[in-house]
Amino acid sequence: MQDFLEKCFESILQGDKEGAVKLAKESIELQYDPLKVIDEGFVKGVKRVGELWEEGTYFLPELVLGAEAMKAALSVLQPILLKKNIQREKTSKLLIGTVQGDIHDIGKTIVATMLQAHGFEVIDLGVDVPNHAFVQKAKEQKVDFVCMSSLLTTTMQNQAKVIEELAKAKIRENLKVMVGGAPTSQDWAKQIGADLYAENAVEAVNVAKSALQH
Amino acid sequence: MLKILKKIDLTIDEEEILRLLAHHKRKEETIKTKLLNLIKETKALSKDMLHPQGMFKIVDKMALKEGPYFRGEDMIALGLCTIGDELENKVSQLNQQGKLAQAVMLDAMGSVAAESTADFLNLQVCQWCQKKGLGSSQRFSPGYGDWSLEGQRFIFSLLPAERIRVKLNPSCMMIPRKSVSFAIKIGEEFKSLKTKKICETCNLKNCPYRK
Ligand code: B12
Repeated sequence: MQDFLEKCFESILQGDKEGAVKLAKESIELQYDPLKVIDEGFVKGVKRVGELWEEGTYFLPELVLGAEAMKAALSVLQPILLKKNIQREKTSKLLIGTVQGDIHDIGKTIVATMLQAHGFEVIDLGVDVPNHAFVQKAKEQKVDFVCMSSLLTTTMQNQAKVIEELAKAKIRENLKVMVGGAPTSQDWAKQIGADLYAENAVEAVNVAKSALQH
Repeated sequence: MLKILKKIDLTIDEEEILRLLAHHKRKEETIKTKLLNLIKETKALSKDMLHPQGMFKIVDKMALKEGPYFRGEDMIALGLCTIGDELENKVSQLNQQGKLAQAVMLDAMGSVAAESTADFLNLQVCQWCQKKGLGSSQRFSPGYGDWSLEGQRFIFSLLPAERIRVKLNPSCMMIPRKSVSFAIKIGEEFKSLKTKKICETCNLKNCPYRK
């Protein structure tokens, strides 16, 4: 079993999507405990990939390859967990999008993918998302997080407006707001009353996870 | 004087791509084969997707409304360039196909290409200045330093942006995404600015005046 878990770990580290999927399927055939395979194999891999990025060894596409392999393995194993009625950990629903007037896509999508790779259920609204669409979807889907991305100082004003509208719709207290994108900062988050800020996709996962514990 | 360049030859510096894709704590390690292959593959893919175009206009300062940014210069060059929208459409497509790593790589190449197009225009402005015996400042863009993004409206009011199919949306974002706008101050006084120091901070590496 230990060897098998090691292979799972390695497949994520190498960003080998096919390999990870194959191992996930094999683990089902071998009737390995899916929870163990995920947490002690694949999750360890995706954590390591994040560390390698943060210490400056991995480049962004390598981080993304790891996240994609992880996502693929999870999509094989999650139905099994569901069938066996096993709860992994507190899962949460997350809404993400690039704010109105802003068409910058790639940063937001990387963040969404990393969060998915860590087991978050992510609803991606895309780019140029009208303020009211964030609010409406958050209400409809009863999400735990609303995450907003902006590339420019002009468009980041809409992050503040969405927060106001969430309050008007009386759902601000039910969820956490996380903001990010090049011109934003911890100070900006504080200024507009956002709960969380992260500088990059790995930090976004850490910040969202620690918010779940509180 | 308005000059529109519909065909620009670009060289894309791989090191610049890597710089964009690295963490700021980047370690100088050897690049893994998988990443190198992705670069190669994506470069090949991007080859026919880059449509660099640009324009610059040299305007008399006297002809401009008094703005906070231009003071004391004789003339100003305003520039605008883009690589078109084919590359970014491909990025979205790759994204939808679940090929995010390649999308990220292609997006970075687009950014480097847009920046190189701006470098090329900058060079044209420098050459124009040299012929006239004038000097030029470094290029600067709305949204950088103390020039606010609203400065985009000023640039777009003076340039026929539609000729290279670039639009400005109400939040001052340019469409296509991979576009750059800038201004360069022109005047006698900038001749003395062409010192070693200014060249060091400039990324126009193939500039004939580089010291
Ligand atoms: C590459 C680049 C470009 C490229 C490509 C732009 C594009 N949109 O594709 C080019 C050269 C074309 C360009 C042009 C311009 N740029 Co530019 N550009 C950058 C640069 C260097 C990197 C952006 C990037 O692609 N990063 C890579 C991606 C993967 O990262 P990312 O999107 O930032 O996402 C990460 C994080 O931000 C975070 N994140 C993102 N979203 C979210 C959301 C949440 C919830 C969380 C938690 C985290 C998070 O996680 C992501 C992954 O780790 C930044 C500087 C910087 N430090 O970021 C400036 C920057 C964004 N540009 C800037 C400016 C001013 C411009 C121009 C206006 C200049 C001009 N006048 O021409 C134009 C505008 C272009 C347009 N379409 O209107 C400014 C914006 C500041 C401002 N005043 O608003 C910046 C911040 C530079 C600076 N130091 O001032 N640019």
